[in-house]
Amino acid sequence: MSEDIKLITKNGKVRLENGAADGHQHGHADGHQHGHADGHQHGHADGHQHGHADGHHHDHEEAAPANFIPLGALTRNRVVEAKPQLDLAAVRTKLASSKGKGYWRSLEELAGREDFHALMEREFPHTAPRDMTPLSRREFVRLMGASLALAGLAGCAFQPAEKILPYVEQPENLIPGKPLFYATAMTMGGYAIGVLAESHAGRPVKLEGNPQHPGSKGASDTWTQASLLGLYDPERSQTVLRRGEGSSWDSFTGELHEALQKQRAKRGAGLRILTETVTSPTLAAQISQLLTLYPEARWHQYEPITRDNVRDGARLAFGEDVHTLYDFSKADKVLSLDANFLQEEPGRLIYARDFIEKRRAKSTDVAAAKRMSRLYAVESMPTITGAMADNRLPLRSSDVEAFARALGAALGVSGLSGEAPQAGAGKDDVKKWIDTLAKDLTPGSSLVIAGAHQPPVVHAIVHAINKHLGNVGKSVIYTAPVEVKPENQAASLKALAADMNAGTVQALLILGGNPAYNAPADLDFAKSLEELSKNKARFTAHLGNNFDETGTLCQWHVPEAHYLETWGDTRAYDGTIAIQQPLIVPLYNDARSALEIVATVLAPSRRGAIQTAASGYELVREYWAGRQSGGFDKFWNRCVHDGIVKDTDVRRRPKNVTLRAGFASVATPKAAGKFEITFRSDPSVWDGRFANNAWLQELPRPLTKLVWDNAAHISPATAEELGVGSGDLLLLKIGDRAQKLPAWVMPGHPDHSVTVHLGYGRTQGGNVAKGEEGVGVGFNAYTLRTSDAMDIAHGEVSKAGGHYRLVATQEHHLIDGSAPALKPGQVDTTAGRSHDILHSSTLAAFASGKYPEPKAHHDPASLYPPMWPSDISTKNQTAERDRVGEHPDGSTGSEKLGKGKFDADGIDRSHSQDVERVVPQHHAKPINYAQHQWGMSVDLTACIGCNACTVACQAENNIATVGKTMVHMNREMHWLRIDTYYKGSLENPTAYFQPMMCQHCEKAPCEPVCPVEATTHSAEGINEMTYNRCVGTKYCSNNCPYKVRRFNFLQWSDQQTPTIQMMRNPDVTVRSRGVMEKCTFCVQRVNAARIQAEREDRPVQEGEVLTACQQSCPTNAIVFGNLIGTKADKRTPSSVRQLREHPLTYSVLAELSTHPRVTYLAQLRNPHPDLVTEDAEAGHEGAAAHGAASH
Amino acid sequence: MAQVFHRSSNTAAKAGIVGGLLGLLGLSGAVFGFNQTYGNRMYVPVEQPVAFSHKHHVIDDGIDCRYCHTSVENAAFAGIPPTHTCMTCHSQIWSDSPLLQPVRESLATGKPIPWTRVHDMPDFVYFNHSIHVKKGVGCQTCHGRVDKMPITWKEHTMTMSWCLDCHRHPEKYVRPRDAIYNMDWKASDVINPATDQPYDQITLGRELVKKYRIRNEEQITNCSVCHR
Repeated sequence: MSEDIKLITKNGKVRLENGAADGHQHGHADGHQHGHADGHQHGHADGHQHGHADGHHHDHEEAAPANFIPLGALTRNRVVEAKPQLDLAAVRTKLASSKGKGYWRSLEELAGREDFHALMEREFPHTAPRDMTPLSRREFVRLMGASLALAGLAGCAFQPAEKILPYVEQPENLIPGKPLFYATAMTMGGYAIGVLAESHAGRPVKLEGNPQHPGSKGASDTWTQASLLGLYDPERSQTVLRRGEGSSWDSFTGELHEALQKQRAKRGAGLRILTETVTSPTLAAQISQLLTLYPEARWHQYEPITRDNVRDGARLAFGEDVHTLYDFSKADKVLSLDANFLQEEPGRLIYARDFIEKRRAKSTDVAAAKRMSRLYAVESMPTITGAMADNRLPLRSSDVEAFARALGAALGVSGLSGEAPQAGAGKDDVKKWIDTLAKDLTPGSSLVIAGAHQPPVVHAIVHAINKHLGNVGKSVIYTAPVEVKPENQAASLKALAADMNAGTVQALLILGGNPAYNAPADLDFAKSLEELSKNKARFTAHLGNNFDETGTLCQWHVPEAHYLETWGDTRAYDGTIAIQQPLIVPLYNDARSALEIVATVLAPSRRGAIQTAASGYELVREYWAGRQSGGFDKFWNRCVHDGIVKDTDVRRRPKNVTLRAGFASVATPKAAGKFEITFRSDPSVWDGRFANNAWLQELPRPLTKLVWDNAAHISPATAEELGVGSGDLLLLKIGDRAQKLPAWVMPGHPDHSVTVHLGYGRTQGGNVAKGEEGVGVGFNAYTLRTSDAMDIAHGEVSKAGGHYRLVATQEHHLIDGSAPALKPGQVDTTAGRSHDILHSSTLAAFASGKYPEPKAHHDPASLYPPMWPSDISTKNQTAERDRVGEHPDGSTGSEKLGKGKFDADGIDRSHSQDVERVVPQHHAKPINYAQHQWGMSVDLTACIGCNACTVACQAENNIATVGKTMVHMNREMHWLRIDTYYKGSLENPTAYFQPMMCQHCEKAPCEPVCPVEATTHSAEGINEMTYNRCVGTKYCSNNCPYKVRRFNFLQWSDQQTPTIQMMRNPDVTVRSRGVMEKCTFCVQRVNAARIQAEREDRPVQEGEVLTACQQSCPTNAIVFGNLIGTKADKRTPSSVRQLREHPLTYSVLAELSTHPRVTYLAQLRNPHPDLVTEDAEAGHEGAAAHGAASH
Repeated sequence: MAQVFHRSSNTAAKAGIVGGLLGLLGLSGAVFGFNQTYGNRMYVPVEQPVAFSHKHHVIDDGIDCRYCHTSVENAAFAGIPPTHTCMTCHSQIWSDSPLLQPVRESLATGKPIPWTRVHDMPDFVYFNHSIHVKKGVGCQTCHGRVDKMPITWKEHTMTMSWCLDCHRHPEKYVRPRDAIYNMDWKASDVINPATDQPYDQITLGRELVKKYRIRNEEQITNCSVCHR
């Protein structure tokens, strides 16, 4: 039996998720006592071994049916049969023809391959009936016979007795069963995102953005959302380890003390401290104190996703350290030079919000819509920023410098000259771009931004361009640095490595980070560290949240306290200081923060005894007490409550800078090598720090939709040239370093360029990070990265032979928008698909009234009552008023609504909403409408595809992760997915995002087919899913045209691991095997708000219920609310109602008459007419015509 | 060939079938009835770490429900008193009673008293005390005469059909808000101002359903009202 053909059964490996629906009403008093249990060997780690040890290995060579996918195919060493190569020439021909004007999902679809159609036709195409066991049907029935016979007996057992543990002393303000919210902040790469954490009985269970924090303003991103799982990760490091063996904090401090005493005599000459980027004022004060005490000690910083270029670029331009802030609310024309500012910049959430606010077609007011900003993106790897661009130019990262120089020259920036680079779609195109940009970048209201991976000179040129355009002080603000010590971190680490090799380092403290894994390969940091640790006379210690690559190579490893467990302070992108307030005492006694470690180092000078170092709380409080004269308690309480220290932002203190002459004199030398290889941060695991986070690993990466892997992204033409398709292994060579990676054919990627995401191929640090095969998820690209080419390298790329199965969800849950003429059997789906799924147009078409086309109404009479009242004062709603009764203010919430465009029955017939029913006003029976009718509107212009909503939904609703193998079988459990569509050529398609969740249809196709009424319609219009009724027929899912239902094929929810139980949202049932689930409109939040409102005798107010996705969204693309409600003034219709009246509103697959409660606003773009290629123009116009033509 | 069975065996067989079916019906009826009380563990006093008597505290001492169950008007969970609440009195009276040893121990060690749940809803049921109290459902309606229970037991089946009985016909059970914590309340205690006669439950109930704006049957029997 071959080792690599094994089944991963329900004991399988990569599950983190799960847990019992624990005591939502129980009010456990356990918050702070919990979880000291040494769950170290339990749960996850255990489950992992299980998969192997239990011998779930089955030989499928013979037993497997034809469509069985051998799971061993996922094993990297095994060469699996690749799919037949795509005929890209045929794809291009098709795109050029009229049939190519529609939206497409993937290259396979364009190629019209049979297997793509199979994907569409079958919900679980990779799932054979016997997929999980080699049992035949007969065997199964025989075995089940006995179980069924005994099944009735199970009902005879009593529920086991359950305990209630009240508090001994109940904390003030705490009502058992009611959550409390605390402000804190998460730091990543040195910069903070403000967090408002929801705490149930002492356990943080959900993180939201802190509305008062300038780095969040209530929004959050995937990392913030998923950091919750980091706290409860059962594989977190839990005890102090000495050379991998369990030790204690006291032994550690003892040995540290010895090492320090030696250093005291040498003035710290052998002492080195390595941290990540530090912005914390308290930590900075501590470190400077340490450096006073040990004057010859050195403090190094290293962050693998480096901002060195940004810092060096500023120094190059201005001769000093300058921090740059961007204000997108003042930018009408934005040019991104390979900058993914919507996802990678420290100010990403605010940049995204401000950027989108300039683009939203807020009302039908065309004049207002005309103020829409325009984004030009020049980029290599397609990112979400490129996907939002009105005009996008694919350009190799190394050509961006030439582009910037040529643009500067065209704008007349002194000191710049240059020709347009010979790249991308041809020199003429690039030239045209530069000419257009030179004309269109409006002085004073434009913004040019360069990506952090672009060389310093590009940043310097961009500073010069912004200055030339007069943007400084408006959309671009220069301030003093926010970082404590801005430095070139790669150089800093290099210096440390040199010292280590030279033997001058005697004591090394690594406070956070994982340099043994992510240091540049040429430093061979791991080896130096190993040598250093072997020397008994030396002292090395690592503080980390996982016992990772660095921890294993150090003499000592100390578990790092999670930010939700420890006090601290940290700064946002604009310098605002946030107080990092813990929500829970550390789950593990040994856990410490960097602050506490440095305090321990300082302790002898402070207290005399090293063991009595101050706690994080004392340290932070003491620091701030020293900076506040008088009324400190009040000040402190205000800071902790709000989560921020007021007036600490640098924005209001701009810095005057002068551009140095000769800033652009040194051009980055063109390196040898035909292929450019670009290293980028990963949209999920960042630099690898989130590798053990299953939520992030399973999150489909934007655009590629890859899960549990990274890949070498190449353009279709390059793939043809190399003779590879997606999944075929490539050999990347830079100098004498080589690494195999699977190729991923990425439409829109420039040719002869390879983009690789960092952060994969972890060998230590948890079983999730190690992946199903135990050798690390994905491929480690750090092995190729050297300190002289940290971001853009040049080398050779060749076909390595062999295939690796990459799993992407792009072709999962396809919505079949085929026109009736195109029925199954017709393989060519391109022409007819998506015709009523995605609507988009241009600002020009919208402003000139060409889009959307007014539609002729065809409203045949119907005997059905309206589904929800639009105007409660109409006759047929009087019953409602009688029933509900008058409110104290004399209104029933919505009776004063203006009529708007809605007909009397509340249905908008004005535009794209297809409605064929008219409702007679004389119902025989009065209808009792509920007071709230929930609805949602999703603005496709505003959705940036960042995935924050998907993770927020996962955290809020206890959604399980399933692992790569299961995702391959279309079994991912996300309730909310971001569908990605493309339109246009392979070389530079336009990408579209569409968040897709349960549409809560008024006439839901899922409801009538359920044999047990497990899915029903509520009076408030929510399509309910009752798990305890579900028997798992999956009929509902079969019947769902939107493909939004998810079935628990296996027991994916972990019901054993104690920490995972603590993480669960107690207001949502944890589903078990055999149950269907889907988006519920966060019905737990709806119920909580309704109960509160009813207790106060009033309707639910606007904004009282925010769904998890809505709350996390940085751009407010999702609006949820009461369709028959009003705003707080009791006069204006609710936001969601107003959006439903918006001319751009449409329903997905409206022709099916499902009448979704979720509607979308068609996407508008604002491309420059001169730059619109024929192709794209046809696309856009096609879209405009499309919507109308399809009806 | 002679008949093996006598003619009368036809009748016997028919009688057997009918009798058997009737017997089965009767048996299932008996099992159902038995299961209602036994299967749902009704009337079974639940053993607790402290032999706490509601009867003593409510009848003899006259303590209001909310003195201990503090969050009943504010939260889903009515609240089990922290040890500190017990000790407000018992640090003064019965302060050395052996019965109260676990309470004193809890206070001394900081470990909670592990009470056993009497009304244990399945984990997929999300019951909220506060809204029921607000809408006029008295304690006694669901919990029975707790004031007469020396050791607490379950008075009702707490099955879904039992819940739905009230959610479908709330008028059968609701009472004025000022009588929520009255264990001994009857509709006839209230005089109908229209007739000057004591109310009957249905008439009063209908008025209260309207007055308290209890949502209609269709709405409060939606699945997501209790299951999320």
